[in-house]
Amino acid sequence: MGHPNVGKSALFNRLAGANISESNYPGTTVEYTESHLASDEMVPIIDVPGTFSLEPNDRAESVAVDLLHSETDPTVICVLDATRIERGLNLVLEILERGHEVVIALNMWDEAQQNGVDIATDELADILGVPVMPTVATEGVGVDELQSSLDQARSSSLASITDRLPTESTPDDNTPATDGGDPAARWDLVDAIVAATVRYQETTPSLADQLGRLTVAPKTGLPFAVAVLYGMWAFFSAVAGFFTDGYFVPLFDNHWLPWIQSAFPGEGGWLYFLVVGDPTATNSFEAFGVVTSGLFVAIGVVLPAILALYFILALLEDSGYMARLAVLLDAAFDRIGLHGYAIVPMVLSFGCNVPGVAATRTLETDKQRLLTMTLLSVFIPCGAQLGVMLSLIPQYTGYILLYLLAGFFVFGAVLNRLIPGSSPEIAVDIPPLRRPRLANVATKLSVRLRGFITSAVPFVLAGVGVVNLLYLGGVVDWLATALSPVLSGWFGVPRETVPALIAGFMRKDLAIAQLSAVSMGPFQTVMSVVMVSIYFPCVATFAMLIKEGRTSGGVLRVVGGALATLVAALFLWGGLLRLIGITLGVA
Amino acid sequence: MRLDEAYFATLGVIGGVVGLLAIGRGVGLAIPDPIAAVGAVTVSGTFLLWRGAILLAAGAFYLQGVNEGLDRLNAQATVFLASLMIGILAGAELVSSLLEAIPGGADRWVADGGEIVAAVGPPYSPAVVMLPFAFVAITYWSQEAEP
Repeated sequence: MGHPNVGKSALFNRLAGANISESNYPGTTVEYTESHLASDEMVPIIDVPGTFSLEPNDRAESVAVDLLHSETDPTVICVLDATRIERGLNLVLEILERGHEVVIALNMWDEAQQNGVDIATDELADILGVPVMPTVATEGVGVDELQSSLDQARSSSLASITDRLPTESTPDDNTPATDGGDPAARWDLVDAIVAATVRYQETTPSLADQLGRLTVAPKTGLPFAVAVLYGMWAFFSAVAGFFTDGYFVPLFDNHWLPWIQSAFPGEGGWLYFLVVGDPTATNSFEAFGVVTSGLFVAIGVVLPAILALYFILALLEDSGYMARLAVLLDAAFDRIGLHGYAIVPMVLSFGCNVPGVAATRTLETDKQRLLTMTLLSVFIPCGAQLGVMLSLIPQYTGYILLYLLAGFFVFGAVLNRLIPGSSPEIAVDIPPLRRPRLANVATKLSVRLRGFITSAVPFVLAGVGVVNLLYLGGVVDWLATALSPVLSGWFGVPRETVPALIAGFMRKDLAIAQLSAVSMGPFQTVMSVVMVSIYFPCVATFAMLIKEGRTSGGVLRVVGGALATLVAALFLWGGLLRLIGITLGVA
Repeated sequence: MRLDEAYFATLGVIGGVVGLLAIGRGVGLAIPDPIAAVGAVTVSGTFLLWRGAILLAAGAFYLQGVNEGLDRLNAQATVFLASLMIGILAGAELVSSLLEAIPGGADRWVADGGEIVAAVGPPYSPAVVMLPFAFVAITYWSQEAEP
């Protein structure tokens, strides 16, 4: 256990030989992970979300605290940031107060030494009465020693800790902290322990410190953020284009599509239509069979886009720049009842909405979680969707993204006024800038890509199958006729967009790919892409909304709120876009 | 004036002027592309407005650092930040050119070496031209690493 962003997951990976995500910002872990010690498979080990105290303030903290309470006689490895030891010590004392056996890992030991924080570990261990081990989890330093010390884990009462303090360090009022949970007395004890065991040497700030400061100052930080976001976008476009246009389009269009069209038996039959699609199609976007468009969209378009986006996200997370973006955007998020760290679920949603919705657990109130979940599922296009947009309409993708982001903040401001509840201000830690570790970036990429391949690819293939079955059953034609007045009257798009709306239930990327087969003008294409983006969240996100809704004010409230917002957004924000188009003479 | 201050002031002025030029062309003003006068440099392509704004900001940061005095760590960090911005801009453009050039189309997996080299050859954007000069800011980092 420990505060957020002290290296618990990195230490867990070292101890368990596991590969779970670790990042240089608070809130990476929102659920617990179980494994066992790499050296002894009989010993289970659990990684929990960070918590500042045993009085949880958000859902992620509750997961950690509930787990501690539910385990029978656990040995608790308290992971402390050695550069800010006093904060972690308060949590250690809380855990000791509850009678748990504890071992302390003083993590980021290297940074503490660089910053002139000199901790007398032997004295600290003597005073606390529990083993204290310096570690650098990302490098594996001290991990073996920590593991060896697990057998010596001890519990220790606060009264006995007070007794072991040197006389000159005893709290001023000479009142030993009781084990009754008085926070003020506990903080006095922390001060006394720190006074007895920690020396702070004077250090001058480094160039990296100054750079870190400049990246959060609005005057220098905002232009730099624009450069970083431009760099992200350019890299994303270049890598996605390299794989998709450079290799997968020729591979699928020139080799796979003609071969499967001629080799698959029963042209004209329902099975051929389902699996291969249009026998006369000359490109894989338009064929719309399970193994033509389905496979091409999943592997040829979305996978490269996801690869590029997840790589950039991993760099942002591990460098510590994500936390700086949070600080820079705090004022903007404040206007919609959120705080800067709402950027974390937002940025994760650009990869996939599902982890984005899960990451809202780090937000403090039900109102903030409902607000963020709703806005993410309605306005933030996932990486897969962006990849298809970039492949089909690269010249408009940036504008569509800006329009959706504008919708995020406009509807956020409205929802902030409509949804009852509080939006507390919070103080956040800004982690130091660190050089991302290639091994961790590779781990994150492989974990996330594996997740995409096993969860999203089957949905894309199934989505094509379902739409084709609905075509065969006449449902698509019936819906197109029924919805035609709304589609052409309000949105100005042809009735042929109905199959895309159906596919959008399964996967948004698939829906946009399907739009490519519809004959439309440029503005109609933009309009229909915006419609599909705002329209119903994909089934995986919808399932996640239900799951998270149970603990964020109720399923009905969350899902109902999201659906009401998307209907309003679809008609108002979509209608506004058409109005803009008519005003500019392009619609 | 210190030598490094004169150097980064010059880089700042160039960055600022070229940034303004790119912004002007980005918003559709009839400003000629410098490729006509300086064959190896072109101010064109997509996202010109954004790229111009980043160049302009980098130029301003160079000048701000010089104005504060480059004997101060904070000013050195400002100059370093400007160089990072030039690096991001130039890096993104070079990676895009390279990745566009590598696929050989429908017939070959990889384009000829000559084609790839030609694709990453001139004309260059101002950020790419400024990149080697911006790298000089690394000396501040290496100076700090010295005991």
